[in-house]
Amino acid sequence: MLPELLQFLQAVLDGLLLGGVYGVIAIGLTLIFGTLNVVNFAQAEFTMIGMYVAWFLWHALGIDPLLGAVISFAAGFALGAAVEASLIRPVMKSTGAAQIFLTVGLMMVLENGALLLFGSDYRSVLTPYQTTAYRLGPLFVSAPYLYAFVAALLGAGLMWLVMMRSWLGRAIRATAQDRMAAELSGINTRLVHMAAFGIGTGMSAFGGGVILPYSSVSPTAGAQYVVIMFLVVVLGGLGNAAGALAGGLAAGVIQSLSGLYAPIQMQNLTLFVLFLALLYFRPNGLLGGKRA
Amino acid sequence: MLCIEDLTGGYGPRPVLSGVSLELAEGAALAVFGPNTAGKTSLLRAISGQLPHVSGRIRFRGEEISGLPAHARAALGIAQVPEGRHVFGGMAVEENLLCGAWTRRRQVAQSDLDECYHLFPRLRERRLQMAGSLSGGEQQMVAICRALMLRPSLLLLDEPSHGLAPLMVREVHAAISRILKTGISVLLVEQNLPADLPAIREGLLLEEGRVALAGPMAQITRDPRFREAYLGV
Repeated sequence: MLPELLQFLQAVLDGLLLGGVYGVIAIGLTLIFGTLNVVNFAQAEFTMIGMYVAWFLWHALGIDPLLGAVISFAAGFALGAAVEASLIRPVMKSTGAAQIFLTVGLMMVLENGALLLFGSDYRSVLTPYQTTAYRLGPLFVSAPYLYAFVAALLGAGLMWLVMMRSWLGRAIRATAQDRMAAELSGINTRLVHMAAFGIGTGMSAFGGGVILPYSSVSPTAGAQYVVIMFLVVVLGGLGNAAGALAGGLAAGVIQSLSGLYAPIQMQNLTLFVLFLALLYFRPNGLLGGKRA
Repeated sequence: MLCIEDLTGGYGPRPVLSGVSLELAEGAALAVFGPNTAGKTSLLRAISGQLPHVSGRIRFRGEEISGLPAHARAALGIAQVPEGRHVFGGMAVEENLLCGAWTRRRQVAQSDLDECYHLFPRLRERRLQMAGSLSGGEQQMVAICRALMLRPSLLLLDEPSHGLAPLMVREVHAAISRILKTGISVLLVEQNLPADLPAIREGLLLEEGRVALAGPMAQITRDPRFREAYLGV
């Protein structure tokens, strides 16, 4: 096979593996927007928190970050639910501007809180599969990326099952579509908002856990993901969970391909140019603007 | 079963309802009439817990409920079919019905759904369709069945025939007659005089948030004030 074609296929594969994780991180943002109609600018900080949780579990107890990511979810869920009940609920009926100030402020507090608690060191883990790669015909599949991708898809699939098949998921969707009618059906929509926010932040924290084997965590780790996260969610249509996953895969592939053909510092530029072009032609995102 | 005393309330400082009192016996049905903006919908919303500013007493089966949130009132057995239907448009018909059974989610069975499909056979055909894609009349059927899935002892119906074709109105009213036979207490707000609902024997005329007339339907419909206010003659 032509070396150029091989390079291209390798970049697509790398991009897909990267993009699956973008998808699971962004699903939380889209779930929260779809249910509470709040844009959580602090969402990426929960990914950072998930990374720290997984790092400490590995450091103190030797737990593999892929397993630790489950605890990251639990921590992200608990913290998110507490944030919803104490901070988000009072601004639910306020203007969009008040909500933006709150979540942007929360983003700064969480980032600087992490700086205060953990210092500015970059921390990473050592795993036996860190440098392992599998052969797929003429292509290489990096083990930590592959495992993170599989874990991300499992997490997203589990969330989909909960949303579509469980009573809780049904209550979340009912509340998202018509809060008054949900309340009249006996659904405590305050608790539903708390649960939906917690699941949303939990998913982003879970994503933080699974990427730890190939990335390092610092208080500013969230900043790397915040822009990608929003881009992915808008690509897929805000509020659309399947769209977030598709948007994540698309963003990963675009990023990876532009790394192949453009200088490395142009990687994100390509992404944004394509992003703007897409918004121009399809303002509701790739899969339309339907809410999940 | 429902006893309202001196109910005053509204959405802001200006009350929409002033000093409304009414009583509804177990298994009884009451029709509420009145011109637009008389406070009919607000009365239902006050009972189901959707009116933000309320004073006065609302007792349901002896329990004071005016301080409870809407979902807690639903759990006590008060179901409302809201004005404008408010079905969950992005969910299938059957899922809409299941949402109505939230408070009974540990006991709900296929037979509950079958009862709904027996009441409105066309919902069985449509059970996997998105509720948002149905006609207005079909959506009204979904909204009524969703409320029934709660197994309410009090059903609040807010203009269930509004905007429906005459044939649909007849079907919806026939269903209401059947619901009344099961012993559920009903409070019905209607614009159209339900001549085909003889089971509703009690009536109440609201005017500018006050009770203008209350009593047996036969008596109310003969009252000149009712004819003037409601029929405009």
